[in-house]
Amino acid sequence: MAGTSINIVHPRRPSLQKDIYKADCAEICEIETFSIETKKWSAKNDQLEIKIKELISLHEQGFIPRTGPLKKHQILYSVEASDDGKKVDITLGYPKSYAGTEFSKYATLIHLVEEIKRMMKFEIGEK
Amino acid sequence: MKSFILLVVLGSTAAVANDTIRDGLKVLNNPAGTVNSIDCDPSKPWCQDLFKHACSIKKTQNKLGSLDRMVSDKYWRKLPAKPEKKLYNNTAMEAISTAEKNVFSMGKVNKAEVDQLFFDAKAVLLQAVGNDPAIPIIRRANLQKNLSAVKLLTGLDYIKDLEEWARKQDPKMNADDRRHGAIQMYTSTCGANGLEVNAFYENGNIVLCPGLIYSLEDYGPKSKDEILNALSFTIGHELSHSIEPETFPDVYSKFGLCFTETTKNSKFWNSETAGELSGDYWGAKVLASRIRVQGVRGGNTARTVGLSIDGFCSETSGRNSPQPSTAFRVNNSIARTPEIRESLGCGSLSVDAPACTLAGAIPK
Repeated sequence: MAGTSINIVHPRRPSLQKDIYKADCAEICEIETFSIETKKWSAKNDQLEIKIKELISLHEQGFIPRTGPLKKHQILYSVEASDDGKKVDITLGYPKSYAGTEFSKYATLIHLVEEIKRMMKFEIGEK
Repeated sequence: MKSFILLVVLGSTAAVANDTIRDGLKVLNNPAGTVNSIDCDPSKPWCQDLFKHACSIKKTQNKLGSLDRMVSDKYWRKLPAKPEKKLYNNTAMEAISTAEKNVFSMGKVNKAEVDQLFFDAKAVLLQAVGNDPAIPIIRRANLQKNLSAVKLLTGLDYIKDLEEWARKQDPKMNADDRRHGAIQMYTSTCGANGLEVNAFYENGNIVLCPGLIYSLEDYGPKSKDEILNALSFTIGHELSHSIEPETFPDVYSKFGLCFTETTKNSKFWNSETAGELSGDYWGAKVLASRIRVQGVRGGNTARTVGLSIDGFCSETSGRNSPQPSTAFRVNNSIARTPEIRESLGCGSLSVDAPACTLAGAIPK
């Protein structure tokens, strides 16, 4: 597997300092997280790449919820992901910005984003 | 001769005291106008760079980290690698509940005090909105209506509220999936145990992550008022998202123009900056109302600002730096709030470095 990347940005409030979860994966993944402090490391992890591809696949299948215009304080996440040239750029608001069946898509996407974050924070250990 | 000198000294002391009392009374009546006449010691570091000074105030312990580890060890370590949703949900709810209870029992402030703080903050803003001559009379009722409707929710309240909302959006969604989604939405901002230093406003609700409250304990606060004062800024800021510039542009037009002119940047006031600068304006108002009553001054005010901006001081990298910068927000907005500036004991504002208010620049 080669050429996957993800950049998740999550602003804190009211400081607006941005938590960052970033990974660029080719043979190995170069990972960078910023949550109060910066951590950078390399790790070989196929599971992370699988999750990034899953996110791209959700987009291709039309399972990304539609997000209307958001004010700055309404932004929960910005997510950029790519896999071998396919790119996804998603801005997600807070849950009540998603009505009807868009909410189910939103819940699925949040679950996936949180899983990727958790992998980077806890499962792919800093070497 | 000695008696004469003593009389002169006593007379001078009384005159100074009387002058101080007169100046103090004038400040209460007209803080923006009188602040220019109060002398200030230019060596006070918070007057030169309040952001730098406030960020030099460091945490002296890590109670928050200890609590987070304790809760994680108690609940999450025991969970299997890929738990089924019901088990995950139950674990999360117990962890969030335990963390919150500990924050309010082990910390200096309890939940009732935070609820009262919220009520008081709302009252301050309602009065400020009602009395500010710069706010068009036709707007005041709507501003007050929006402010009045805002609620402060705990983490569990928020999760349950979101579950109910989700049930109406998609009745076919499985209950465990619904709860799982609601929990993830809460924990994405507040962390697995609710102990991230974070807060948010969403559709008329404010959530202060318990971590935001407990984090302040790590500064070794001398009293509960230190914590409540710091929280008052955040509450005021988040409350203001119910009365934002995008919704009430005419209320903030002179406020925005002031920033455009003082930064000499015609694009400075935009959808990215406006909400946060107005949030800081109202947050500072709420904070100022408390410290004025308590008589907090000088270095103690600077320390209070330091605790209020907990989380503002972290390093940021390049393109992900917030706009406006946290230094700008503190030095060009909070530090120039007339009531805060008077409390800091700093020198006059100037036409080149004015306070931006709803009436425009002060001084003009």
